[in-house]
Amino acid sequence: MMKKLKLILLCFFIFFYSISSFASFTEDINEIAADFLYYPKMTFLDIQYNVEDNFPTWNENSFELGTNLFMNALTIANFNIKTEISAPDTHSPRLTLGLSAWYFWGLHIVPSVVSELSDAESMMAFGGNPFFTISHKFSDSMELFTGAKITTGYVSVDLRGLNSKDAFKSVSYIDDFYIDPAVYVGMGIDTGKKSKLAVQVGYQIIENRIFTKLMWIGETWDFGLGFYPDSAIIIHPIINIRF
Amino acid sequence: MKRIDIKILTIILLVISFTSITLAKDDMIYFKVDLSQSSMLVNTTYSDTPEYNISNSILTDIGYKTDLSKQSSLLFIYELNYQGPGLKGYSEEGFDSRNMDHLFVAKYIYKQSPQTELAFKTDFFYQFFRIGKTETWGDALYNFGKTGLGFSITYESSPKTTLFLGIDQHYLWFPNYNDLVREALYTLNDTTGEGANMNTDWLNQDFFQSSLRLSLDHKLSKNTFMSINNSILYRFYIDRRIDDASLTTNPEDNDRQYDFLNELALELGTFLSADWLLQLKYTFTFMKSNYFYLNIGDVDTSGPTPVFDAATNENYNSYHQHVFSVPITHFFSSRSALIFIPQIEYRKYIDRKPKDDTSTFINGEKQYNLALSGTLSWEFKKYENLTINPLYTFKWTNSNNKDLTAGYNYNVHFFGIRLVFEY
Repeated sequence: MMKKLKLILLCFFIFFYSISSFASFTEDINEIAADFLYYPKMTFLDIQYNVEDNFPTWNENSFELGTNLFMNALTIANFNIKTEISAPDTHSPRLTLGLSAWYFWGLHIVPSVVSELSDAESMMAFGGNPFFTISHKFSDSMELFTGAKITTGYVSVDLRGLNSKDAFKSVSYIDDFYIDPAVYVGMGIDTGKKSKLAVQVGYQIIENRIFTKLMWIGETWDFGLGFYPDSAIIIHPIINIRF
Repeated sequence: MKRIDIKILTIILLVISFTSITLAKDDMIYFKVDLSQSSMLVNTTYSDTPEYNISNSILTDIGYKTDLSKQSSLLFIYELNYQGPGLKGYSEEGFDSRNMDHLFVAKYIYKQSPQTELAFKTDFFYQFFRIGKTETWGDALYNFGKTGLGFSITYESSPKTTLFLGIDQHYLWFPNYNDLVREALYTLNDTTGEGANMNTDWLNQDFFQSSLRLSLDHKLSKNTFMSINNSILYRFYIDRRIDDASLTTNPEDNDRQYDFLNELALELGTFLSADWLLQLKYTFTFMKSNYFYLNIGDVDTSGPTPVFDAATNENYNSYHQHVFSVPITHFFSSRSALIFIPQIEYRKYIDRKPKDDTSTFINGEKQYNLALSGTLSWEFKKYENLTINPLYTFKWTNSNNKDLTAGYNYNVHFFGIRLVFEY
């Protein structure tokens, strides 16, 4: 009875969200483009949240190298490295240090794909993010963590050379460097011998922005969703592979 | 100022978080992340096609309690609460508005006797509020801060009965608030020549708030319990003067604005069997304010034009409200429960007239708002620290105020799923 009920509910939610996601896809693309032009920092932060993996080093490896495949598919090359500099024991917590970085190489081919932008002089975006995370096991199957990071990056868009199309005319030049610290907290729950379900909530201090991630973390693969309330798309899929 | 406050608060949070990692043996920490994702299908008053929205809400609580002695302890709580568009109040405004709140509470708890507990607290609260997506958090008109002190006493008069008395005093401020239309009205209508030099403090929204809460929790029998809770709240506006039917002089001689609110909540619950819980809940709210509504008839090149009708403008915010609900819970097991909550909400304004669909006041009527809703919610504890809660709500609202911009007549299907991580 309970299993059937769970299955029905799951199907119901997948069906409902699929319809809605499909229906609003074109609108979302337009909204992202508009958001990027009028407030590029928001899109910049979305990319950064998707790329970074500042959960503790939960696997036995003391060093991990990973990448978000979904972002790579969107032409955003990225990597995330993290290392455990202090192993946990009864009295002291686990300390993880790491760095994530990305480069949006796809922007370089946009002018050749979108004819209206063929005369764009510059389109570039990249970012990086050092972080440290402290975690501690509070029960056999549950660990809490907290940490801080500094988000940095650069976005440059120069469309002044275009014989401009209305949509791009009002925002034709962006040349911004960003630096914005953030803090975060979270919880990891063991779901198997080598897998966890984890949640993270963070706060971007200068931007006054909240962000959340819900992740299933396996030995090599991570699957999850990012919830970024101020974005054009408020739910982002995350697929990480780690070595 | 506010940005600095938030940053300091965040740093304090971080320090507390780190401290809690290396907590002493008897110290306790509390942690909660409540993540909700929802979809809404809204049939609005102004469109024949239902509107579809998705939204989310994120609530995070971090608590830390340390014992200073056998009798006394210190409690720190930080809460970060993002509430996206959703089912809020009677108006369709809730489908676009969003807020992000920071709350920090420090509480000293003293156990005077096995039955009596005293608590002293100080808190700081800041809300970023946006009526839609386009405002930025820091600049929104209705952002406000709140800080103050509180005292409470909890007395367990018997194993079945607990009494509570709480007194709070707060100061609230609105750093971005302005009312340019009102300022323009006074300046343009002033006949004394002082209009241009008007002191805008008289339009200032900041106020002091005093509140008193009394409650009684009582176990009537092994399976039946009840609670009575009454809160009285009084807001005293420091500078703000109410308007009146004359705008020819500065409002300095008018009365200061005040708001008085009383809320009485009653609850009766009984376990019909080991698997079924039935609750009856009723809340009565009475709001009285001397706020005077300025009805702006027209804004043209000569400025805004007020329309006066004392019967319409006075007592505009005063009302009484009744909320009645009957939650029925069926426990499948200790980790799983199905809850059905039918609810009726009714608000009647004391003097406010409703508007028709052309935004014109209707004489001879008083505005009411009615909302009927049903919620079906299933809670199950997947792991020790994770509860999953899918829910569905249907809400139907009705009002004799047909003003399209107010949006008081709609129905909505709300689908949500909550994940609650808690320790």
